[in-house]
Formats: sequence, structure tokens, C-alpha cells
Amino acid sequence: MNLPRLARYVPGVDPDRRALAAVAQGDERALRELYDRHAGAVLRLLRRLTSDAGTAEEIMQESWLAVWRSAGTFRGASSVRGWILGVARRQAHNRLRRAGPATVALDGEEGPDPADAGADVEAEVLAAAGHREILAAIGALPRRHREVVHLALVEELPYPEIAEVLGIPVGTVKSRMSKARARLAGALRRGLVS
Amino acid sequence: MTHLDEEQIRLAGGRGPGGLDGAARGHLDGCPECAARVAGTARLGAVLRAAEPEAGPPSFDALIAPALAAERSAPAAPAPAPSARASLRLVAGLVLRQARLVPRMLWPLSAVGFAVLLAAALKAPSPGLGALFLGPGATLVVTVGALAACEPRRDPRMELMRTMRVPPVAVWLSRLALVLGADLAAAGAVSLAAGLVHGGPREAAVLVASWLGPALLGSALAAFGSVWRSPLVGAVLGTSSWLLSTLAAGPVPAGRGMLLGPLADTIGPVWSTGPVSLLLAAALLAWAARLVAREGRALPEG
Repeated sequence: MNLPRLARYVPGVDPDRRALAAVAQGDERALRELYDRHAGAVLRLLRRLTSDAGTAEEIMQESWLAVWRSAGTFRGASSVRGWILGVARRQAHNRLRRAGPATVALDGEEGPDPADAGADVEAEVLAAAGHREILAAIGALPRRHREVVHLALVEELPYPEIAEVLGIPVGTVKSRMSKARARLAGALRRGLVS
Repeated sequence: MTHLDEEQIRLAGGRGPGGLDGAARGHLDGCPECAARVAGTARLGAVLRAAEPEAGPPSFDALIAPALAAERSAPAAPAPAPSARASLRLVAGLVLRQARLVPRMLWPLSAVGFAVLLAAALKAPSPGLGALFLGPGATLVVTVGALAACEPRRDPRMELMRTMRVPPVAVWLSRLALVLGADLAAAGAVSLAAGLVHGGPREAAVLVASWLGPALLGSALAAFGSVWRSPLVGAVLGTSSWLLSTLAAGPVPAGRGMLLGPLADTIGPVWSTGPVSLLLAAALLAWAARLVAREGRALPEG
């Protein structure tokens, strides 16, 4: 069976980078290939930024058109997946900022840094808490922490790529992740005790 | 070895310890603290992944292909130009938004600097002596402002920014225009107030001339150095410019500054207010803007 030209594996060449280079040359099949691979992650990211499914799909469409138009500007500072997620996040910010603060809170609320409960305590409370409690505690995190947690643990992006997507230093990504874990442990521990 | 870092904990929590190198795996086997962190991360990831909605994205043919076909078949002619009012609104929005993207301490520090300069200029017995404070002082505040506007952590030349409709060079110019505009307006207001107290518009003009050329040249050098090489180079160029302008503006001998002989003849016209300094500043800023507009360049840290 003849595979499509873009799906063939070429040793040493990242298929995503090859596809994006083809998109920059105007190859629609390459865009389709990238869409098939990464649209799920893009949609998950957008659904976290807006609760309205229709708006998320509209931003998704705008994001992939931006990928189509801007593929030639990719220089490889991050992976293609990280770059596409970054494009989608910026499209969402533009769109949701115009829509007003009622749609989504784009700036994370500030709060005092939690005390470090210790790794063993964190693990104990996470192990003892149920799915629903953990999800509620994650939902109560400041948005900037929640975003890092999702990109790290659901999309499994390395920290340098999360930094690229969010436009923040890598050190900030690490500290947000660490604070998010401590806040979660604190919230869950209070829930378990009370 | 030391405890696993955040990245290793994420990796082990997401894909299991198999993703770690041998030393890290060995450490994990013998370290209850890291094992606990990995277990917590793994539990968190599992809960989050399980909570993701089942429904996948719409198909490419349903969501993207029609919009792409419309985009590809659109006439090549550029979109109609926005009205003058809409353009003005866009530019104003872009410039004002930059106020949030400069270091927070810049505005209060600049305000304090100009307040001190105003007090010194008002207390000076003559505009000439007031210029001795105001010239170097205002030049320093304006140059520091230009450096802060080019801070690398807010560099608009990130790769992703090139996918946006507003290009990075427009963002950079807006930010520089906001900071320089605010600083120059404040320095102008200080000069006007002190000049009027000392006599009138003529005295105010003397005070403005004491800083306008050196401040523009210093800030242009600082901005150029920052985008050409690094903020450190920008700071060195800005500081050197400030020192030269201060030496060129010193009190002895009259009108020649602290420098004597050919050095004064060379440096004087460049680091004072005049056509040479203003043209040089404009050329440096244009060159810096050109560097910012080039793809693949971004500010290095430090």
C-alpha cells in the first residue's frame, strides 16, 4: 500500500517539523497531518480557557488558520506541538480579551504562597483523596498554576516548552508547578481533616 | 546525587521511572522523598487525564477545510485599510498596553528622579547652574527608561509572537515610544517649570537644551546595544554616553565643559543638543528597529 508522501518515516527528521515545513510551502495535506496529531491537545487547551464549546471551536479554527499563515515563521525554539499550543493560546487571549472578562478570567488571582507540607505528606493526601476532591482542588487553583499543571501532566510537555507556550521563564514554570502541588496538598489535607 | 528536579519528577510521574537516566533511577529507588513526589505527581496526572472529556475535536474536513478554502480563494489584494479613527484606536491601545509590560518599579523610580531634579533646578540660583543638575540627571533617567523598555523577559521577538497580526517590531516601538515619550514629557515639564521660575521661556529653553540631545543619544545607544547584542552591552553604551555627555557639559571652562582641546571639539557637538546628536539618535533607533524586525533574533538574557 502506498502511504501518503508526508506520512513516510525519514530517519533523523522529526515528522512534525517536516510537516510544518511543508505547510509553509502551502501543502494542505501536511496541515491535515498536523491537525490529526495535535487537534485534541489544542481543543483541550481551549476548553480550559473557555467554558463555551462553540467559542472553543471557533478559536480552534482561527488557531489552525494562524498555523497555516505563520508556519514559515517557525524557527524551532520549541517542539511543533508546543508552538501550535502557543499559537492557540495567543489566539484565545486575543479573542477572549475582546469578549470581556465575563467569558473567562485570563489573569490568575494572586494569593499567599503555601507552606511546603513535605513530599511524603503531599503524596499521602493525594493517595487518600478521591478523584472528585482532587479535581475540585485543582479547579480552585489560580489559573496560572492550573495551566502549568495541565500542560505538564496532561499534555506532557517538558518545562522549557511550557515556558515557550506561556511566554514565561522556565524557572517560573518550575516554581508554579511546585506551588501548585503544595496548594493542592494543603487544600486536600484541610478537606480530609474537616 | 541530589534529589530529582521538577522536570525529572514530571517525567517519572507521567511515563514512569523508565524515562529517567540510570543515576536518577538509582536515586529514586533509594529516596523515599522523591518516590513520594513522583507518586503524588503520577496520581495527579492520572486523575486529570481521566477527567478529560471523551469527545474529540471535529474533523479537519468539517472545521478547517472550508475556512482554509475561503482563505486560499480570497483575493490577493490586501484587506481594506482601517479608518483613521480605528487605526488611532489600535495604536493607542497598543501603546497603552505596553505600560503593563515594563518593569513595575520603572514608573515610581522615574517619578522620584524627576521630582528630585525639579527640586534641584528650582533651588539653583540661575538656569545655567540648574542645567548642571538637570542635564545629567534627566539624561540618566531617560536612558534607564530606554534600557528598561528593552528588558529581555518582555522581549516581543519570541518566535510565537511572529504568528500574531501585530509584528514584534510594532510592539517594541510602541513600548519604547511610551517610555521615552513619558520621560521626555516629564523632563520637559520640569524644565518649563524651573525655567519659568528663573525668568521665562528663554531660560526654559536653556534647560531643555541641557538634556534633550544627550538623553536621546544615550537612550538610542542603550536600546541599540540591547537589541544588537545584550542588555549588558546596552547598559555599557548608555552609561558611556551619559559619562561623555556629563563631561561635555561640565562648568569649566565656560561653554567648553570639563574637556579641553581636540577632545572637547569632537565630543562636544555629539553629546550636546544639536543636529548631530539628534540625527545620530534617529539613525541608531532606526537601526535597532531593523534588528528587531529581523526573524530569528531575540534578546539574550543578561
